[in-house]
Amino acid sequence: MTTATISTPAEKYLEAVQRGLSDLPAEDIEEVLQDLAAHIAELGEDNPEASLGSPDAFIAEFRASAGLDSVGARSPGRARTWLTERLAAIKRSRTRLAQMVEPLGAPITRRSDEIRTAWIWSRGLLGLAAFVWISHDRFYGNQGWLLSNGLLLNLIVVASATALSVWLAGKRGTWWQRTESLASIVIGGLILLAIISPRYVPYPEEIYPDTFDQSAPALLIGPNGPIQNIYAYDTSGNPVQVLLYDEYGNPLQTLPEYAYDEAETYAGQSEPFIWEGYEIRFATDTYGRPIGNLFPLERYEWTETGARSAPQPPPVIGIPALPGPTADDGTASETEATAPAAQQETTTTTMVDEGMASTTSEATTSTTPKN
Amino acid sequence: MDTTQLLKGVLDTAVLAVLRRGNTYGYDLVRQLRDSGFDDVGDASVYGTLRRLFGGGYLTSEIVPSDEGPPRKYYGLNNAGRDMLDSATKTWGHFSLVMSELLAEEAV
Repeated sequence: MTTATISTPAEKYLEAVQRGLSDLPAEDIEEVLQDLAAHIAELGEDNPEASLGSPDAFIAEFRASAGLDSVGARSPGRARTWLTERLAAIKRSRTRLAQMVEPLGAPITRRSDEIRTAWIWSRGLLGLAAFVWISHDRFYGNQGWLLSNGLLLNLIVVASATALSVWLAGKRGTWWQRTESLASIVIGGLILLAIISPRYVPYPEEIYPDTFDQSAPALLIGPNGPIQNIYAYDTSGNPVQVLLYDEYGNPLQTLPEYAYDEAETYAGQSEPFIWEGYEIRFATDTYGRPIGNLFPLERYEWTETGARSAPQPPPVIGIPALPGPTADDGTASETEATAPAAQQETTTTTMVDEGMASTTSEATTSTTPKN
Repeated sequence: MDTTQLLKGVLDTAVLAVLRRGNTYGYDLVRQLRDSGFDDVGDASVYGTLRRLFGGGYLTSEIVPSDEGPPRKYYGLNNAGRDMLDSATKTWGHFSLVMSELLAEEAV
């Protein structure tokens, strides 16, 4: 039993031309058939022979003007005819598929310029590589957001970047205009990434400095950016110095580990240690090493002419009223004190960053009431 | 006189001259040639010429999706094509001048 295949006159015409050019390289045949298929579509006629003449006449004229000999015009054997018909059917399927996925298909089927096609595909990968490189260690820690979010996401991004590149290749314009468009999209994506990045940053393992990681991030991220200094107060609003540790006994620091190494090298020198616009004067232990977890850090605003003479003042804060034994009348305070304020006995310390209240620690300190 | 034979000799130059107007695809190229006066130019001749010129490195090509059917392949001149057209223009100018003068001679 055989299955009958119904071909349109246009398909039959293309098949015949393909047979007549079968001695040419496959790429050349496909190029000719692409042109001819578009031409027949433009004619809009049911039977292309009305305008183009017979396939044999077309082939002869084409070969003559293209400078080809007439070898392809000879009648092929049966086995060769069967083989070329099968190849033609496969190629027609490929052409239809490519047309269905336009504009993605257009650059794929363009066989005459393989170097350009390779560049179009690799451009997407290069764009992705630039994306990963720029996001590396800037928005999402050491590993980079892309690499840390699994194979599937990476494959999706690779496919998207490549599809974008191929789509741009299908647009009219110079290669530079298309590359420029791609670059604009990548840069736009990076800006978007920068805007949404804070929600991904504070993974628990990333907020504590790693002694062995020289590029460990800042301790905490506050609403104004990375926290660099911490101010502690007792509940009366008196500033106090505190040594901060986590629940495992690790000292908490607000600068990357390498900043403290750098500070240690400055310790014995006359030159100040400058970090992000401030001169920082660390307290040192008996061995001359900076104590990084003693807060607040003594910071002086730094300009080109040198550091200011007075350290950066503590922020103005409001101390919340807390229940419990208070001053002489024995009732809870109803009002908030503003630092510095009347001293009250307590074992709780309120800590703030440079801008506003951040957290309450179990670190203990106390002050003695005056009366 | 059979213009078909004459056309064969100048079709390369005619195709390059049309492409100098701007990049275009095969069907439109044939139409422009016919509108220019080459009524008898064959579609297959134009495509054969395009293939030879492209293979010789005188043309660029670019696939452009079309809303009306299959993608169109736009051809354009590159530097080599423009040089070839300049050279052919000089040759044709000399050739046509010589031919015109020859034909204008009165019988002795």
